[in-house]
Amino acid sequence: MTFDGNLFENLRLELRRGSLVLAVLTQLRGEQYGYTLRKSLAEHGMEIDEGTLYPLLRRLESQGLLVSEWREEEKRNKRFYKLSSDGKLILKQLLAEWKSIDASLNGILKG
Amino acid sequence: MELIDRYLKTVGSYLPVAQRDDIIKELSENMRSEIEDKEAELSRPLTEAEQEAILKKQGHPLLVAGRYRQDRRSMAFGRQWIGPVIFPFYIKVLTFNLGISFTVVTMVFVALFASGQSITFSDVAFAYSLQLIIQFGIVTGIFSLLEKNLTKYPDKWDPRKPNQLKYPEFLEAKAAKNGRRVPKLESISQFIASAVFLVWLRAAQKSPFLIFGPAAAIFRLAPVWQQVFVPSMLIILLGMVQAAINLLRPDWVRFRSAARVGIGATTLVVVYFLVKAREWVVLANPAGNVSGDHRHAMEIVNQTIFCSLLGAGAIVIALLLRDVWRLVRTEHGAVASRA
Repeated sequence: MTFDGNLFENLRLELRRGSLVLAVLTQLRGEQYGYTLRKSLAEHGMEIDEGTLYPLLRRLESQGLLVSEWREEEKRNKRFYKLSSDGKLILKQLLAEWKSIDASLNGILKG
Repeated sequence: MELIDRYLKTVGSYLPVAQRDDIIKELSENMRSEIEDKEAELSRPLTEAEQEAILKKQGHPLLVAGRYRQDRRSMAFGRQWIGPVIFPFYIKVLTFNLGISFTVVTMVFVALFASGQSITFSDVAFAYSLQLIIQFGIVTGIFSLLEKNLTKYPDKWDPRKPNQLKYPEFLEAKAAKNGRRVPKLESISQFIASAVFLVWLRAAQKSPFLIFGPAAAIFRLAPVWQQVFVPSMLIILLGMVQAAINLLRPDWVRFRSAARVGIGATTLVVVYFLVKAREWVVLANPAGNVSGDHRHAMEIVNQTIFCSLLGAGAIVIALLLRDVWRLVRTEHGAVASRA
């Protein structure tokens, strides 16, 4: 990969990192477990690899934004995650911020 | 599912014990759901090659485990030299090695100060900085190579390669049943710390300045150190061999205890010979014009070394007893499980 390619890749990852958290929190307004969450994000065009998503869920839980519980589904125990009350509040603030950034950027792009 | 189970066990061996079972259980469920999905799509069980592809997509077990660590510290100058995956082990090894070298330097300075020698701030700063640069340089160099290898070739691992993942199933079962394994990163850290200490010891033998700093013009090591130098190197090498073997065979917990009993007993013999010598530091130029202050400083250094050797002997005995106890306990455990 060329220098420019590397630079683009780094900037792209930086741009995606914050958006991923927002996407995960939004998707977890409804309860889901790791694999189905990954699938539903991918269906919305937000591909995220396992090595990033599963540890991210734990990190968000340790930050108090998610709650989880082990529950049996289809005869197997799975760990289900959903937004905590703090998570709901943070998501609301983040979405407002996102919309503000989006509006500003659109304004800038339109010149 | 044998490949998947082995993979998960390997990931588990790199995880902190407190979180291990929970993370592996969740990871296992997610992987099995993905496999079931693919099997339903293909209307047949996945082949071994397809399972391997799923594992490859997950990533190297060490990297996967590293992402679950809460400690996200890393070291970066311009670019990242040591990432969060191996950073905790880097800090452990660096602290251990700096601890040993700083203790030696402090001992020398305390003795010089107590004997009334004039010590300037620049002497102290230079001696500590030298140790810091040497240890930091070597340990950082080794760990950054390890990091480079991990990040440059994240896919350079084979789920079927015996040394990386595959252990005989009966040993896995036994180790899991007893809940005993030697953590791989403990073995890696022990190996690197011993290797750096070995290099430092060899360099210190050639250049007394590394130990005495500016006092190297006054003192040199007594001949007894020359006598114990080879046995000391061998002890460190044996420790490295034990760490390397346990890296490949983490289930050999009793081997680790047995090897450490042997190493501890040999170390005790070396300490005994050293204590018997009664003189560990001598004047660099005894025939020359030696001031009374220098002789007094030498006596204080020797007295300090004597106390340190007794302390070291007590620590070695305590560790030896701990390893003998572990060996006996695991032997009883093995007999009970055979019965």
